[in-house]
Amino acid sequence: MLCEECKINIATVHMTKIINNVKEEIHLCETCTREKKSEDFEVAFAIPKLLASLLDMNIDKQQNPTAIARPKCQNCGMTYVDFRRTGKLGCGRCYDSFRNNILPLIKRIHGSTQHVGKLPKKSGSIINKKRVLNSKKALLKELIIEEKFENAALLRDEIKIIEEDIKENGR
Amino acid sequence: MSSELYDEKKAADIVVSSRIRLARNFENYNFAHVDRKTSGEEIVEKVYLAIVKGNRKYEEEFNLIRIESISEVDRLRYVEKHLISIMLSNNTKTGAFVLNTEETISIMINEEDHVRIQCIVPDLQLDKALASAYIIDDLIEKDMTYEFHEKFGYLSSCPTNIGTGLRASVMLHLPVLSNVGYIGGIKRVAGQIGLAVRGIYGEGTEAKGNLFQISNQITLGISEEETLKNLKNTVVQIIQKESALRDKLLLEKKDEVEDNVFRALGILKNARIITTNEAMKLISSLKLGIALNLIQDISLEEVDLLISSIQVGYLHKHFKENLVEKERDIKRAEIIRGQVNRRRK
Repeated sequence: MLCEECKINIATVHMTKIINNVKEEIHLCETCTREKKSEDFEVAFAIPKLLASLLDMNIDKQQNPTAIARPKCQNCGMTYVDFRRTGKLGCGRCYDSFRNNILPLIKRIHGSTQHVGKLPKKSGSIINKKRVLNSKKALLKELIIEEKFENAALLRDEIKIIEEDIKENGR
Repeated sequence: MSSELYDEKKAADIVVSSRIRLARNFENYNFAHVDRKTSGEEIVEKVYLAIVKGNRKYEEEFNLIRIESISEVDRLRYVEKHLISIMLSNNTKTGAFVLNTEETISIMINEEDHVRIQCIVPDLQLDKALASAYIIDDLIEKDMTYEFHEKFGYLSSCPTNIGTGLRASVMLHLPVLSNVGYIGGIKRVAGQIGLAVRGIYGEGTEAKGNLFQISNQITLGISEEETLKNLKNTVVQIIQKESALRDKLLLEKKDEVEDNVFRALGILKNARIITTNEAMKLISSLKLGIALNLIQDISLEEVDLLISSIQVGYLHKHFKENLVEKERDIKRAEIIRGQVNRRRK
């Protein structure tokens, strides 16, 4: 039998692959097998393992692995150890329960820790207001540094109104 | 006109489809992998209702399909058509999806996330696909509250998906780039700017028939518009590169290309036993031949359909029997011969 890849050499390696419950037989020569192996290696390098290895990098820095094992999510009961094993969190609250542990990981994955983009319509309106509030507060600081006190006073009043609005309507 | 300009005709020969996926989870529920039993079914019902309720048109257009209620062959078939993921097809307890009749929008329920809204459109039309996904996103949100974090955006069980929850991808046919060994380089460069290049069935699959999927990896700290822009820019550059190499190939090695294309056609027309792998390789040559105008009586659309109908799930469904590997290879060859030898005007 000739190798399926190059169709030149005799196939000496016979493999059976099962993907999506579909069996597939592969007959290759030695050279093509070697090339195939490097392809498969890339495939095997899956995300959960990658996450776990990234987390391990954090631990080395913090030097005290037992302290890390303790955090537990009060809402779903998942522990940080579970997350390290599976690469998956249990519920939305986990993000706050393990915030300090996963923040460096998130930063490493995305290069950022702050969402921008679409907001949900419901909770989004409050968040939108908070976004406006933060930018106005930053502007206020600048105005004070520049000693533009009249403008600053106006802006301060605006900020007050937004803050009260958020207090009344949101969490 | 400058050859640097984006040539739509050539792009259409290279781009197969564009796909958008939004990952969403609901407030007050644990993530889908933790809580399969108690809330899984409830979520299925609520999501389906949120989409079709009070909308006659959508009621007719969208169907709810539960994984447990369809056969294994059907499950595989939906995976092959990229309408559901392998992961969803394995969730026989609470997995379900809402599919439109056109089969362009699929809302997976209880996959890794509570909901994954997916839109597939032909050609490079990422914006159009995103707009369709947003319509469903907003419909679901009218009835249900998404798990959303001020800092981390839309939350997901896997931190790699938080933020926008958006995965945008474009499927490309890159026979020449692949043949000259440039794919490794593209993968590396793409990785540096937060994009991934994979085989056609997503994570963990190899590229068959020189079909590649290129998608964004980063979802936090970058807006949806920005994500699409980055992806599009990179895809356009890859298209230009592939296109330029095709022109060069035709100029410098016309005989070799023709030989390759017509040998492939010859085998496809006559083979009696053929594996998916071999067929996909030959079909890739056929696609190239059509794009280069060497073959004129078969269209690219016909070939793309052919790709879909030589997959294992289709063969099982079409012949209504469980075939062993050898029988499949025989039936596959039969289908290909039928399609390629069909008389055309």
